[in-house]
Amino acid sequence: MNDMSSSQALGTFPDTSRTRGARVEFDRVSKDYGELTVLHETSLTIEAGEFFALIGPSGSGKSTLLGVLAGFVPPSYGAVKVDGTDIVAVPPYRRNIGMVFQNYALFPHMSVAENIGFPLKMRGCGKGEIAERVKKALAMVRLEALGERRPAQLSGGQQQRVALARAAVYDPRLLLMDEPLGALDKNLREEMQDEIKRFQRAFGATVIYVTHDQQEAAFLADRLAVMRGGMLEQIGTPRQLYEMPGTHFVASFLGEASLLPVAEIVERHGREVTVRTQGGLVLRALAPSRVSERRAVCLRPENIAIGASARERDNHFLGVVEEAVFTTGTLRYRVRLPGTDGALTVRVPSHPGIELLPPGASVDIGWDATMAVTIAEE
Amino acid sequence: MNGAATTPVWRILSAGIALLAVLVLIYLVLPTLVIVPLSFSSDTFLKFPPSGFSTRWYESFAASTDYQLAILNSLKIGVPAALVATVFGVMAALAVVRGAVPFRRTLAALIIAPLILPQIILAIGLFPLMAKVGLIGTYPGIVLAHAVVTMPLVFITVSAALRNYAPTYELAAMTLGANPWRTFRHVTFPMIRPGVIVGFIFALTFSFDELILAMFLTSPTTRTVPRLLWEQLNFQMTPIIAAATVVLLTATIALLCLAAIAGAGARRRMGRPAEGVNG
Repeated sequence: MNDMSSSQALGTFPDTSRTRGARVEFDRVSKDYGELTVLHETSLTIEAGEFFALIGPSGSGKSTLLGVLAGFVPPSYGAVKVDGTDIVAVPPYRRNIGMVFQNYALFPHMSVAENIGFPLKMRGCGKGEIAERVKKALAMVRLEALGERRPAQLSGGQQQRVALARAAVYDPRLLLMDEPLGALDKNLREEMQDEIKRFQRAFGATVIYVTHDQQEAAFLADRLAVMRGGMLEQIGTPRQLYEMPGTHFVASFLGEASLLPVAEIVERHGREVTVRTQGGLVLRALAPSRVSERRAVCLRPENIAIGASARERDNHFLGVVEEAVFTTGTLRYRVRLPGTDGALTVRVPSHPGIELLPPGASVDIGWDATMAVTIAEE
Repeated sequence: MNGAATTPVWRILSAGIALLAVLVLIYLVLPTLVIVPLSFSSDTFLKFPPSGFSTRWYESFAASTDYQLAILNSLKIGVPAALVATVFGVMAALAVVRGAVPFRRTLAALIIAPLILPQIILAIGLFPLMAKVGLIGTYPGIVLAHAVVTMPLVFITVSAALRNYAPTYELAAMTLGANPWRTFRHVTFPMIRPGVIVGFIFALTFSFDELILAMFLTSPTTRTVPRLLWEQLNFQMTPIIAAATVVLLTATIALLCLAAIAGAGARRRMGRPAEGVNG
C-alpha cells in the first residue's frame, strides 16, 4: 500500500502521494442480543491505508463488526479505536466514516448531484464549494454527464459509482464497503473490482470491505480475515490464507481443498513433519507453528502433479481416476488413493498435447512436502 | 389451464361472477347517489322519487347562516385535528416501525384501537373527562377528540410508507453526517411524504364526516355539518339536507381524489422507470 506512484494505472484518478488512511483497532469487541452472541470477543488491528477484507458466510459476524465501526451497532463490550481514539460513544453522524451499502442506498428523491452533495451540505459547505466538489467527484467516477439524473434512471454499475463518489466526496480517512458489488452481475462485478482497487490506491483511505465472495476479497485486499460463527477464524494476506490455511474451514472457504485426516505424526524435522494418514499413507508435509490435536493434510488441486512427473515428488502414490472432466483451461480429476475414503481433487492445465485420462485408469500422483500443509481439523 | 378457461361452463360462470361484482358495486354506490336526485327536488319535504326538478334547495343551502357557520366549524375543527393527528401519527409510526421500542405489535394495536372501537364508547368516556376540565362545547375539546380518532389513519398510511423501503437510507444519511433531525428532514420525510399527505387527507375527511363525537362534544356554536344535518333530520325533513349532503359528499370525494393523486404522483417520481442508459 505504500506504493502510490503507479499513477499510469490510475486513469482519471487524482494522485495522492501519501497515505492518508486511518488506523482502526477493535479491542476485545463483542456483541450479544440477550442469549444470542453474534460477535464473540474480537481484537483486530487494521493498519492505516490498508485494504482489509472481512469474509465469511452469512451470519458469521462480519456485518456486525462493520456495523460496530460505522456506529449502527453499539458493542456490548470493548473499544473501537480510530487512530487511537475510542469512538464507541461517538454517534454515527460524527464519525466521518464513508460507507457504501450493498443496495447503494442512493436517495431516490434527490438527483445524482444532490446525492453526492448531501454529505457536504450536512457539513455546512457553501453552494459554490458543493457544486465544485460534486463536479470533481463525478469526474472521478466518470459520470460527468449524469449529475441531473435520478438514481432510478441509472444502471446498477452507475449507481454503484455514485455511491462510491458520495461516500468519498468528503474525504473520509476510512471507507467501509458492505457487499458493494453484491447486486451486480458477474462481468460488471469484475469490472467494478478493478475500479474499486484503482480508486482505493488513488484515494488512499483505509478500506474495510465485507464480502462473502472469496475471489473478490483475494483480488482486492491487502489482508483479509475469515470470520465464522461470530469469531475471527484466521487473518493474513490472501496468499497466506490460501497457501497456509490454519483450519479446515479456511481451507475450504478459500478455493478448493482436499483433506487427508492424520492418524499420527511419525517424525518432525524443522518446518516439516512426516505423518501417517488414517488411510495408512505415510507422507511429508509442512507443519505451521500452531499444531492442534486433530489434524489433516490439506492439498490444493493445482499443486498435485499427475503422470510421469509425479514420480519425482516427495510424496508419490498410485491412484485410480474416479472422475475426469474438462472445464475451460483445466482438466479436473478426482483421484482415489489406496486406503482412503475420499478422493483428491487434481487440476492440471489443459492443452492439445495432453490426454484426458478415463475413469478407472491407474495414475501416478505426487506432490512435494512444501505443497501440502497440516491444518487443524474440527 | 387454457382449455379450462374456454369451456362453456367456465365462460358462463365467469360472466356470472362479473355480473355479481357489478351488482355489488351498484349496491354499494346507489344508496349514496339517491341523495343527488333528492337534492334537486321541487318538493318541500324529502320524498323519493321527487315530483319535480328545482335548484331552490341549493339556493336556500347557500343562503343558510346555519350551514355557513357549520361549514366554518367543520373546517376550524377538521384542519387542526388533522394536523395534530398527522404530527402524532408520524411520530408513532416512526417509533413503531423504525424505533427500538418493545412490544411493537401491542403498541400498534393500541394506536389503531380508537379507529376500530365504536366511537360511542370513546364519546361516553370522553364526555365526563372533558366536562371535568371544561372542554365540552369548545373547539379544543372536539379537535382533541377528532385527533384521537383520526391519528390511526395517519399511523397506518405512514407505517405503510416506512415499510416500503429499507432503513438503509437512514443509516446511509447518518454515515454521511446527518444527525437524527436532519436525517428525518432530508431523507425520511421526503420518502414518506405521500403517506403523510394521504394520511392528513384521510384524517380531514374523517373529521368532516364524523357525527357521534360531534354530538357529544360540540355545542350549537361549535356544531359541525354532520351534527347540523342530524339535528335538521329530527325537526324538518326538507331537501336542504339532501343539498347539503351532496355538497359534503362532493367535498369528500374531491379530497379522496387528491389523496389518490398525491400517492400516484409520488410513485411516479420515485419509481424505477426504464433501466439505465448503459453499463
